[in-house]
Amino acid sequence: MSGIELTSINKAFGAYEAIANLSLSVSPGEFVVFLGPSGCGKTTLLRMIAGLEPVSAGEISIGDRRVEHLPPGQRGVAMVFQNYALYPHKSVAENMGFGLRNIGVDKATVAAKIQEAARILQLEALLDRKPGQLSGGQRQRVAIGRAIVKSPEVFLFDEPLSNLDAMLRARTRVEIARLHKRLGATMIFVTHDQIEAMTMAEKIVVMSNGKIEQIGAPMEIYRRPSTRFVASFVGVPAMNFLEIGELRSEGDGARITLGGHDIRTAVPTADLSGALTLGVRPEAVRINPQGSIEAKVDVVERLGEKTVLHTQLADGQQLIAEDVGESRVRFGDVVRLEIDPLRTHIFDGKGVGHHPARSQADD
Amino acid sequence: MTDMTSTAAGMTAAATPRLKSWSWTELLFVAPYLLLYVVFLVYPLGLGFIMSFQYFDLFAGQAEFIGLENYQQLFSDRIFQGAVVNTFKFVIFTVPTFVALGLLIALALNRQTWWAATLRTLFFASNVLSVTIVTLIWRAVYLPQKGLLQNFLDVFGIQNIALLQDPNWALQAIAVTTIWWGIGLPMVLFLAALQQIPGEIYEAAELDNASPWQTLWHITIPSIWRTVVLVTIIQIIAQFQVFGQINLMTAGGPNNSTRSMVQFVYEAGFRQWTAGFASAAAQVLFVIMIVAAGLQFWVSRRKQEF
Repeated sequence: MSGIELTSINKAFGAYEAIANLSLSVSPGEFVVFLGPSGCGKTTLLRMIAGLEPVSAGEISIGDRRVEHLPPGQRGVAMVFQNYALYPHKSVAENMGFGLRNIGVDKATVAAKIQEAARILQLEALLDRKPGQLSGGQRQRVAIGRAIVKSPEVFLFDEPLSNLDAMLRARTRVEIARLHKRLGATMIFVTHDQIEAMTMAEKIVVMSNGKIEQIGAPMEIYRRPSTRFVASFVGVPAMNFLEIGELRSEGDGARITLGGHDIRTAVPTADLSGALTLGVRPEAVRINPQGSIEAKVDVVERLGEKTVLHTQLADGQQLIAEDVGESRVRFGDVVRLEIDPLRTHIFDGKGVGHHPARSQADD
Repeated sequence: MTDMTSTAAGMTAAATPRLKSWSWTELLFVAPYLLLYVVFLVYPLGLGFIMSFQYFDLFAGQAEFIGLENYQQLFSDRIFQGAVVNTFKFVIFTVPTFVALGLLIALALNRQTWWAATLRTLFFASNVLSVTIVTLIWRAVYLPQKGLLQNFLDVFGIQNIALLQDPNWALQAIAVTTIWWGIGLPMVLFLAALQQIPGEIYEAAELDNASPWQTLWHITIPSIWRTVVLVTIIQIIAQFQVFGQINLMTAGGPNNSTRSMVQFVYEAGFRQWTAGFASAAAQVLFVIMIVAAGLQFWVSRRKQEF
């Protein structure tokens, strides 16, 4: 079990700088998710750790070893590819054993390791099949099995769930989380799906344009997004962003005026500057007959356990609110809404997030 | 086009659970192809088969049924026996080389650089030359005393090389010419196959510590195995029919050392006008080719299942 240390990593493709001066530390046994939109550099970063892509500058250490000049096979990593990358002409057992056979492990040990991995992943009945005879989910498990048999120091997953249907994806998510608990190995998982990140990660690294936007535990990222980008990328439905008209300090927080409505927040005003935006997640916007905001409902999404209301304010800004599953609100209704001051965020002119003081918000 | 139509019609018929009745319009679609196929392939094939049991003088236009006499005469003909041996030798010289060398060149040139693109074009270019041009070039290469090869060998002090005049070397020399001429097609077929292999598999192999040799043997070759079989069968069929370059470079000599089966058929049929005898020789070639291609197909299918 080894940690990973990335120091001042640069990656340039010709004149284009994909990743600039990135440093990151992963603890031994940690499950880290690289989260970001396509083209943000998360897969490139993973491939550099794997050794499939050379670094332009910087250092990579796995455990105590500097690895950036080592070929992929000698870095002690195993990777699960997006399209599985199984060897189509080899059986499931041969697929899993290939890496061990190549480094001269004896047949009996290889067979034992294959059996062990097959047992963990319930692949025992499929060992003689070829990948072409397997379903997508089964191929996925073989790809994971191929990684397990090598007992690597680090597992790397490159969007491995994106080719599965929704049901299977949810199940595999749980399986991978279990596997992590069971093996205790360091795992890095790349995805653009924030649900995968939130559910599996111990630590999320949110990336955008080759830079790290925020590193933190899932709930930390969710509750205290450090930038407007993070706030907008994590959470479904996405956070509401409303342009702030006027702002004044009142008590612990800012009191703002927004399209004629008066809204109280718990965000301190001290560091605020530039064009300000109010950020509030839909679940912090609730129906309340005494609420200060009046809005017209234009779409009602009934999800069963809750109802998502898409509303429009008098000044034309959109505000998404949440109501209970049994909500009686209908299309066209005019409702009064209230925003929870402790769950508000203000983003300044540079997109930096400001949040209510920690002791209050973490209740 | 006609070929596609006939296949499509065949598939529809096979897919229909219950065939109601056979319709004449269906035949109409297949008819143009069928007509050409029967007139130019099936009919001559049958005619050739019948002819091989006849004394058939093309010049005089006489035909007479003589049973197996052509075959008896053929199997005791020393020159024919020599031609069979020469043809087999030629196939053994050329086919494995076409496969191995074609794959080697394809592996070397399977990259996106300007020099690889240039070399791909160059290697394929010889393929479009006619047999006349090819043999002209290579006769100049093999020319005793003044040829390119002799000029080259002079540097090493090797004198008086005359490959085409040497019964021990003439066939090999023609094989080299043939490979130079035809290597472009196997190369292109292998390149197309190599480009179908997803890059991720090679990355997985890198992570699996596979050496370049293990990667070639465990990843690349199994991935393009169908193409290896295809190239082998195409070449077996083509090289058993070797004729043009031999006829133009050595005319079967020296001392019959390069006479091939097709040349034997040609000479029997169109030099001596004994078409029946020539047909018998052609039947033998036909059987040998079918057996060789079938054997190759069978072996390669078994190998794929390891």
